[in-house]
Amino acid sequence: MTRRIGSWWIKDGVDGRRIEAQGFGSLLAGVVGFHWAEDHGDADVLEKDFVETANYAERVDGVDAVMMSSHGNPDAFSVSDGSVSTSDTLRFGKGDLEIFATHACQLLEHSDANSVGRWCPAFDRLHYMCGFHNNSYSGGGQNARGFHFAMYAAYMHAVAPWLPRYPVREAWKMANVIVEGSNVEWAYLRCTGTGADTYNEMLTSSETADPTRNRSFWTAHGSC
Amino acid sequence: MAMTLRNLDFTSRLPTIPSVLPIFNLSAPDFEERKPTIARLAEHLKLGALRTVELDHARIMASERGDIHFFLASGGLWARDATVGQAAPNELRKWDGLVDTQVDGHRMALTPDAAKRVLGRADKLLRDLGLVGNEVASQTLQLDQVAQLDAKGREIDHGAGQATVKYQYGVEGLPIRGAGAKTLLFAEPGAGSGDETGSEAESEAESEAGSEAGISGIFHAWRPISGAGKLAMTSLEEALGIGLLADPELEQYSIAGHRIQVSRLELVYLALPVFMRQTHLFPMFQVEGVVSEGPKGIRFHFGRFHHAATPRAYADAGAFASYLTANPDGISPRPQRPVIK
Repeated sequence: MTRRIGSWWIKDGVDGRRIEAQGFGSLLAGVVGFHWAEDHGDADVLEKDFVETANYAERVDGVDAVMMSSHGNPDAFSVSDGSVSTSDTLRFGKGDLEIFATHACQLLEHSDANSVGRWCPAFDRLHYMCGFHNNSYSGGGQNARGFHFAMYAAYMHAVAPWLPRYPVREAWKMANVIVEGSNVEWAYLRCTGTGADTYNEMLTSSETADPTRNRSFWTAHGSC
Repeated sequence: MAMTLRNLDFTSRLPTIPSVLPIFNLSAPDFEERKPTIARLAEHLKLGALRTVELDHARIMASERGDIHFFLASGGLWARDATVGQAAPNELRKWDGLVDTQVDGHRMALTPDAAKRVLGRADKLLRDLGLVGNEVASQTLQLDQVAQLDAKGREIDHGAGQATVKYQYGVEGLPIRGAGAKTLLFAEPGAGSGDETGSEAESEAESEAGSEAGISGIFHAWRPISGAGKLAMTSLEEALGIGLLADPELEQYSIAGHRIQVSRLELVYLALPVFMRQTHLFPMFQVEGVVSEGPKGIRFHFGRFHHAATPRAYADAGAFASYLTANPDGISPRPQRPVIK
């Protein structure tokens, strides 16, 4: 079984966003068991590829893991023809998607005033949303975020199988510790369930069980 | 057409720009220099016999218990005990001295006494490892903030996760920011490797206080400073014109009618990530803000580093490097017309 990888990016004049998302796909493209299947940029980043649309198969759900580089706020991230927000009908994972990682600022902010629970309805069989509690940066060496996410999540283990693996949550944290200053806070929201404990889930070449029964969610954010 | 200051709404204080700033030389410790520290780290984390793997950006030494990464470009280090965090059932950790401060978004913290003990242990380990630089400007402790939510997304529990002890750096009264200027120590309650660097008396005191936090990982990103040149600076508006006011993305949104609010504008030194070569520590603007909703789309937040001095100024200071000529992240401002005097 091959895991399918996707990259979506909107440059808006900042080419680093393309490099950031494609770095995730291109590094894994060279690893046995992974296939960089989808790469969409700028005008080809469409709302209907994320929002459930009649008679259309959302392309984001044709991959197992995606790195998305566009803007955001706590309730939405941008696409070329609008936005994808918590008020849209989102069913991430209804096809194949397990890991959704994004550069979008503050998307996973969790506070008393604005709980990250607003994104839970977007989880169909999705396992992880990886993002930020506050603002992520561009301009200081952050281009390599996707590359290092792929590096720690899967690539290093492919080079040296005896290396202790990094779970998805640790790989996301490490990728951001390595490219961001310590004022930035990585964040994630994960779904877990009976028979599908995602706490130590790895990005491997094999499919993992989907959390569909007795579901609950865990969120964490901390210093880069 | 580049923006002017009138296109931006500043809610932060504007920085003062000195007429001259030092531009510091940086060096990268090589592997031989780092060997004793790596050996000490492996011992502290009880990693056992290590095998080596070479990657383009790093040399990794690992056992089944954990790994140590030596970053070739900078001499930076990353080390972890992989067994500690993964042995837990979830993200929550039981800390002695944990308090709920009710601070929105960062409610969980340690009492001052409990934090002091963790900070003290971190400080002692860093000194044993020889990793405390003269330019350390602050030492703080931050807990990962954790919450569990039910199937409907309602919070049903919250608490703290791993602790991060953060050392940040500064020089000449300016903070040094970016991924290449920080030393982080990751601590877990009850992690087994924490006691051996403390004195017997310290360990007893900690035991009595119920604090058994141990260091489970370390990330060290700091290139030693050696000497400096002089960099001529310009007025604030001219300095902002070099990068921020010519930001190709913000310019697009400004032209389209979006308002751009700048909530953070600081003059800082920028240290690049550990996988990048950097021989000069140079000034940048650290910027955060929000772009309003408008014709081009939703309201969004942004964070940026932008140059504060021109390539010509760096050339006059005798400093030449790719990251002094263009933004290190591919933000390429449109060429501006030369000023005709």
